[in-house]
Amino acid sequence: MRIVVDRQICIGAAACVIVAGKTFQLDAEGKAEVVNGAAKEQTEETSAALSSIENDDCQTIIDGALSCPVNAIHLYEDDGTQIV
Amino acid sequence: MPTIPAVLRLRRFVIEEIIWESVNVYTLVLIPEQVEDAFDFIAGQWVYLHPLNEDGSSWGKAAFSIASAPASQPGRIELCIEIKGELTRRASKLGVGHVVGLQGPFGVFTVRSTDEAPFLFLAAGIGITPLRSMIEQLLAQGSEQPIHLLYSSREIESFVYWERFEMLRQRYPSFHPTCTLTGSVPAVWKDEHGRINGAMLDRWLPAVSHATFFMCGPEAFMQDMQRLLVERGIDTKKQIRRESFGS
Ligand SMILES: Cc1cc2nc3c(=O)[nH]c(=O)nc-3n(C[C@H](O)[C@H](O)[C@H](O)COP(=O)(O)OP(=O)(O)OC[C@H]3O[C@@H](n4cnc5c(N)ncnc54)[C@H](O)[C@@H]3O)c2cc1C
Ligand code: SF4
Repeated sequence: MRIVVDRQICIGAAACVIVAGKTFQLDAEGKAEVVNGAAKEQTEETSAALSSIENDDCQTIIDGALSCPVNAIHLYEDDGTQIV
Repeated sequence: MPTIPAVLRLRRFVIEEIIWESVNVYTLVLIPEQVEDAFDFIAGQWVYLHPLNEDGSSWGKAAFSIASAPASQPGRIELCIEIKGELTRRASKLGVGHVVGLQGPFGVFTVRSTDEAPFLFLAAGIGITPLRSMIEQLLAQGSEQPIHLLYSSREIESFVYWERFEMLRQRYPSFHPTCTLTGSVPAVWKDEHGRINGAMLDRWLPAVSHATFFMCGPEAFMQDMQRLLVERGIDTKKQIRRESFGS
């Protein structure tokens, strides 16, 4: 699963971090970033990675994304289909 | 079957009281339906409020900071809500005894043990809600450190919790609230008038070398405050904590 945080939209409300703490954390600016994961890409605008076994299980990552009050987290299947 | 994390469990809370704070702002006073619906929270955190369908399922959800302090009455939660769209209007039509769902608590906009006093709070409009919780918690814990609040609102009628802060000011000498009205002022007004600018901030800021700032309000307000504080040598990363309501 590909996890993408839109850091321009993120307001640092930290719901994702509380629900899926092995996948999301707040950086020094108070914005969410993806932790662990593979093929990580980090820019000012987005933080993205492929989920790995060090992350939470798929359902918890989905719950984390759905808990975001501003829909800043997007999840994609390996074939590119958007899940959230 | 995977278990639902505790923060995502839909907890059932009963409306004990609805208090109209102004024409479009109301407080929902909520108590847990069952003991297991209660939850602990830290002052400044927020929850998802779910109006419920007749079958008990969620109608929709929106985020609201908890306005009451954890120390005030265990289990009891107050949400202060400004009517904006469908959900906030729908919740305003609920009555005493109706049940709503809550999920949470979420958020890291809280006072930490490493934060340096004095604590300086800056709020605009409905952004006062998490700050009320933090201020009342600090006062309830017997904090003798000075607590300063600068709170901006358009009109006196839309000042939420103004009388409450007046009462706290009289009871706790360490609490110093200042209000500014950006619209028309009543004849007897003795606080500030106008938008918060550098001169007003300088009148309000206590002469201290260390402090932690907590701010909440519309994005434009927070950007203005941040700029003014940075111009006064405040370290954004270490000394400023902010909560955005996302608009
Ligand atoms: C961390 C945080 C803290 C906040 N704290 C506060 C606070 O203390 N006080 C405050 O006033 N505001 C607060 N806000 C802002 C508040 O969340 C928004 O103002 C609120 O969401 C706007 O409500 P609305 O009535 O416009 O909702 P809407 O945009 O109308 O609805 C919200 C959701 O309800 C559902 N919904 C809407 N219409 C329907 C329908 N017809 N059928 C089914 N479902 C529907 C949808 O899921 C929609 O996403 C906070 C925001 C954040 C992020
Ligand atoms: S829940 Fe959303 S807004 Fe909050 S930190 Fe996570 S991505 Fe950002």
